[in-house]
Amino acid sequence: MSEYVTLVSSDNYKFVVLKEVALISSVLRNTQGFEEGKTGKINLEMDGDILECIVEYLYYHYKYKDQAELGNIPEFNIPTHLALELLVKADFLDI
Amino acid sequence: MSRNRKSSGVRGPNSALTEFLKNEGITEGFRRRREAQASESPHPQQERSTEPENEDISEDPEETVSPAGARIRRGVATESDQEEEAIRAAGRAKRRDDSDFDPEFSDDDLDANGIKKFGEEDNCVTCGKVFNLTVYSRYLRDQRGYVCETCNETIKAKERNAKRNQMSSRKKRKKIALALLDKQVVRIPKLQDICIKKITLNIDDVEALGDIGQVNMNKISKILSKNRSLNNSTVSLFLNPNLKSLEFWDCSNVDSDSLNRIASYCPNLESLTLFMCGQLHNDNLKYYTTNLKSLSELSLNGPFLISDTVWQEYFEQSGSQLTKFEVRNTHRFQNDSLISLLENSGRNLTSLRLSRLDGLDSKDVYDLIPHYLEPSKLEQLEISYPFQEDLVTDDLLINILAITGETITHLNLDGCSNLTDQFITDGLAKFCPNLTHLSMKNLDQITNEAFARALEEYSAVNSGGLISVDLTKCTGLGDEAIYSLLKHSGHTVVEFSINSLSLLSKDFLLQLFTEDHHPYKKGLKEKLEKLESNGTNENNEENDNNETPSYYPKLSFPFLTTADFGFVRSVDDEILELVGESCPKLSILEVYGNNRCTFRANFRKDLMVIGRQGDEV
Repeated sequence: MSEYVTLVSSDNYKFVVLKEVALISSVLRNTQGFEEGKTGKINLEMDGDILECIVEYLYYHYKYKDQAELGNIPEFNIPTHLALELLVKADFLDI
Repeated sequence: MSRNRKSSGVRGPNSALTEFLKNEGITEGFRRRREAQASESPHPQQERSTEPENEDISEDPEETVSPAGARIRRGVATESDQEEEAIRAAGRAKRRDDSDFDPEFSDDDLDANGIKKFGEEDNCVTCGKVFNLTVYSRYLRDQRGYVCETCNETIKAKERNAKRNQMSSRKKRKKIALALLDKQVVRIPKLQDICIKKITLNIDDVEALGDIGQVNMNKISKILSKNRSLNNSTVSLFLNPNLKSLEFWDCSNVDSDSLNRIASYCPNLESLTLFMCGQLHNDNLKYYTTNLKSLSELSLNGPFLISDTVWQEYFEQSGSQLTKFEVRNTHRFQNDSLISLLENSGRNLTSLRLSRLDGLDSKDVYDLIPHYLEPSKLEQLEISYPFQEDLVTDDLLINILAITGETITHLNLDGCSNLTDQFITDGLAKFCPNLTHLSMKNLDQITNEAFARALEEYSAVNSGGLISVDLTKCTGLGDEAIYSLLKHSGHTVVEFSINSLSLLSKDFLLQLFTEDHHPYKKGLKEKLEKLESNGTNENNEENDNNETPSYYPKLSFPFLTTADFGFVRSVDDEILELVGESCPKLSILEVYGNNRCTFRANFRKDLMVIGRQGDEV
């Protein structure tokens, strides 16, 4: 099994992401039982810039999840104009 | 860093003379050193005369410049160690005598005989290099000597680092403690929460929230309420024609017109909750009456502009469809309003909550409540904090429960401090088979024995068990009462508060959470059995002398999630540990005011203990 998955946005931007990182989202985790699990490619209904933010967040989560208790992790910044749309997608991905 | 400036930044006004003297290096410390020098001068001479063969301290330039401590380090130490020791001891004694002086100016630099004047050369105590001694040279107390400028810089850098570390760790602790007060743990924020934060920060620029899901919508609404930024423009973001239920928890900045918009934009509302709705006007309620045709659940907190007559009109027109009604904190909801409510919707009500209504001041009106509730569908009843405590009596509650007891699941009687044992024995324990949530804060007239007995009998009536029990400040209750309550409901209880029940003993709590096969409890049981058998045969003299301890078998609390043990002084680290062990689901435990609960207590990591003195903010 490959240790990377490819997230594809609706406007065809591709993000190659560590599987472990992508699976932080329970929705992406659940896709692995289906076709996406075999092809290693997940098509997502969102624009490239949104998906980029989401991938950034996933890596942020991955990097700092063990240090959260210690308190001093940097804030995750998102562009203001994307906040609403990002909220919808984050709600969808359950992250 | 100048030594006389480092203590604090606060200084009184200075005269020109003081400023001049300071610039010249003539300070309080300087004066005192001079005096001390004068008074000390016979002392070293004496010593020199007793041991003349010793190296001449005052003549050797190498030796005079360095204080005693530095001399040893440089390896010049000879057989004069003993003598040095004596000198140092004398120095120490002298310092002790001077202890009433400001320690900033203590005569540390006098403990060797040689005193360097500012401007002379000295050896740095850390690097050993020769440097020019100035007023600003730093004296290291623990090394007994001055340091040169370069060494001082490195020391200062170190100190700055230490300070920064200290600040950051303090900040961190503060963050954790703050989160603790909000009953949260510090963890990575969800992306949704980050977005919501961003949105609420820029809420004024948002034109429409779009399809973000009702859960997120409610989240944003709650955060805006908490930030007090729910206002005329933000309210409209939440209104859409399909809404069936709407909750605004802080409407204080929402004006009358915007409150009207709720009814015009969301005509299908079935449930409406408006808290802190001080701007809700008579006309608004009238408008709701005509426009919200299907509204059946109404909760208002603080609608003090709505007058008695308008309440009555509202109930007459739409009272028949009301099933849940809640009103808090208004003095304008008066006797006639309540009668009108009962007449028009009494028999349909499934939930009735009346709290802090100071306009309701007639006992007769309160006594009417049971008559209108028949046949009862009432599931939730709250009558809390009445205007005067004698408005809500035992008889009233017994009458209400006799009618509604079958159906009632939630009962809240906070602050009805006129209620006594009779209410428990003849009301609660007899008529409430389906009760799951009970809150009775401040019922201080209820006694331990009566409550214990009533709850024993209650098991026959209510075979289920209570889910949420709040006994805050029922100060009459003690070990037996709580034990019989938990014996009945321990296996179901999820939320539990025994805040301020100061009669609870440590022994009881220990036994409650300790396994029955624990040697301590076995011993106690045997002892008690022995006492009992003795007691039946012989006279009870012994028992009277030393109080008989009671035996309580352990109970289990499989679902207990949040508990408040605040101001139960007998709760300490030991109890905390036992509670943590025996309540597997417990996640929040409050122990405010229990000063025997310290940071030393051991418990599960996922259990949050709030209110210990050690948690600093």
